[in-house]
Amino acid sequence: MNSLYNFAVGPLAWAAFIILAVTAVWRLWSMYNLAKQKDASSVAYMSWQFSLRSIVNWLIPYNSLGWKTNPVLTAVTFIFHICFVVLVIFVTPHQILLENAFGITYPTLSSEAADVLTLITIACCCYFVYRRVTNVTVRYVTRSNDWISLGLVAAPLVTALLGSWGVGGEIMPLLHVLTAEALIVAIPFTRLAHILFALFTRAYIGSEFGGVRHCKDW
Amino acid sequence: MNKVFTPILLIFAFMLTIPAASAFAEGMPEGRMNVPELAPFKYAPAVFDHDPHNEKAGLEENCIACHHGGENGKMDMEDDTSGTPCVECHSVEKQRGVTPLRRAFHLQCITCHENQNKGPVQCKSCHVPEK
Ligand code: HEC
Ligand code: HEC
Ligand code: HEC
Ligand code: HEC
Repeated sequence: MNSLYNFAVGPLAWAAFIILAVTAVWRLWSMYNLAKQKDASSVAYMSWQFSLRSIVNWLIPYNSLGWKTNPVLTAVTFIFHICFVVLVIFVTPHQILLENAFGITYPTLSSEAADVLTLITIACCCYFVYRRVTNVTVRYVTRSNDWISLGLVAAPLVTALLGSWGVGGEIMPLLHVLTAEALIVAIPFTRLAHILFALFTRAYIGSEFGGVRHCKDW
Repeated sequence: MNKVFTPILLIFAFMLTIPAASAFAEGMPEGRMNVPELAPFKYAPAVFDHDPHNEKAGLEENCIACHHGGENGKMDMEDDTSGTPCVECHSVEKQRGVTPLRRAFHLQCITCHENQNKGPVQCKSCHVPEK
């Protein structure tokens, strides 16, 4: 048990981050080459101004037309992403691991606050599941890739919460680390790749709308 | 006869070890760590029963494994500082060339447990929640 846990938080964690770094660069590079090959004019039209304009406008809740059409989904989407990022950075055990490994120290959440945020994030995942099942249009475009991505995101959240409640003793933190590492490695190969591509997708569309069609894309 | 005497002898033998143990135990962490400098606390203090721990881990003769000396950013593994609280040399806040207190505890405890593949390595196995 201990040796497995030590392996998971040590060498396996390093492996996961290195694999993510290498495959992320590879995915971004091949996508760039594909764009150059298939849509060379778009690459020429890429502009910092229109890219940033689009990114900023889409970062503001209910600012874009897309965010306005489905208010509930928009709320859940923003809450989910904010909570997830806050949890990953500001949960005490993550900071302690960084402190022990690299001496990095900063303020963190209390475990009660972390539990509440985790519950909220899991509730958001439940809404995503509910929507995929009940909304006919969404169900029609749902592939197994979507379910795998959602499961990969939910697994570390659920194991973290159960671990925080003391369910499963030393097994649960081990499962938490392993499922989180699975999530990290899966990013470039699943729908989670939007973590890598989202900014570039916005920049691409923003540049086309700003530079070619001369209109807003939000 | 033997059936009566053996237990009695064993009880006496056990009682002899108590003064020896309590002579050491004065001021040592008993049951749990007690480091008020780390307040405000996020977790229950780590489980650590000084003498029994070191007996189990075969460290009774090796105080320096934990109570090292040193100054000016250099550790001294020859200087036995048993009895000096770690906070004397490891400040709570970050300082140049000093491993801060919380990290010093974690590195010392967890590194040894990892290397020996014995003893707790998970947060809650040391910070066992108090009832
Ligand atoms: C596994 C590590 C470890 C070993 C080995 C160890 N100690 Fe300790 N000892 C500690 C820790 C941790 C403390 C608490 C220090 C603190 O509160 O800053 C402590 C505290 C003490 C204290 C009390 C100091 C106080 O603040 O009141 C004494 C005395 C002491 N140790 C003596 C010894 C002696 C003698 C030995 C060798 C027989 C020994 N220790 C071996 C870890 C160890
Ligand atoms: C007499 C002063 C002194 C005392 C007492 C002392 N240390 Fe240290 N320790 C040092 C010095 C000096 C260093 C090297 C500089 C540094 O990393 O802070 C050091 C280094 C360390 C390191 C190594 C950090 C690394 O990067 O490898 C750990 C871990 C550590 N101490 C833990 C402890 C613990 C736990 C105690 C109490 C049981 C303790 N020390 C008591 C002076 C002391
Ligand atoms: C030099 C090595 C070493 C250091 C340093 C050390 N330990 Fe240990 N510890 C061990 C070993 C070995 C065991 C396993 C003993 C056994 O069960 O055989 C152990 C076991 C334990 C246990 C379980 C005891 C039990 O009854 O099963 C706890 C709790 C513990 N250590 C806490 C700590 C804490 C807290 C510190 C830091 C202050 C610490 N240890 C530092 C070697 C070390
Ligand atoms: C081998 C035992 C051990 C393990 C494993 C361990 N700690 Fe500790 N921790 C200690 C000791 C010893 C101290 C200093 C005394 C105390 O408990 O206050 C400490 C102190 C702390 C403190 C500062 C005091 C407080 O309660 O705010 C925090 C925070 C902390 N640990 C968090 C963690 C987290 C998170 C993990 C898991 C990633 C962890 N620890 C794993 C032994 C351990």
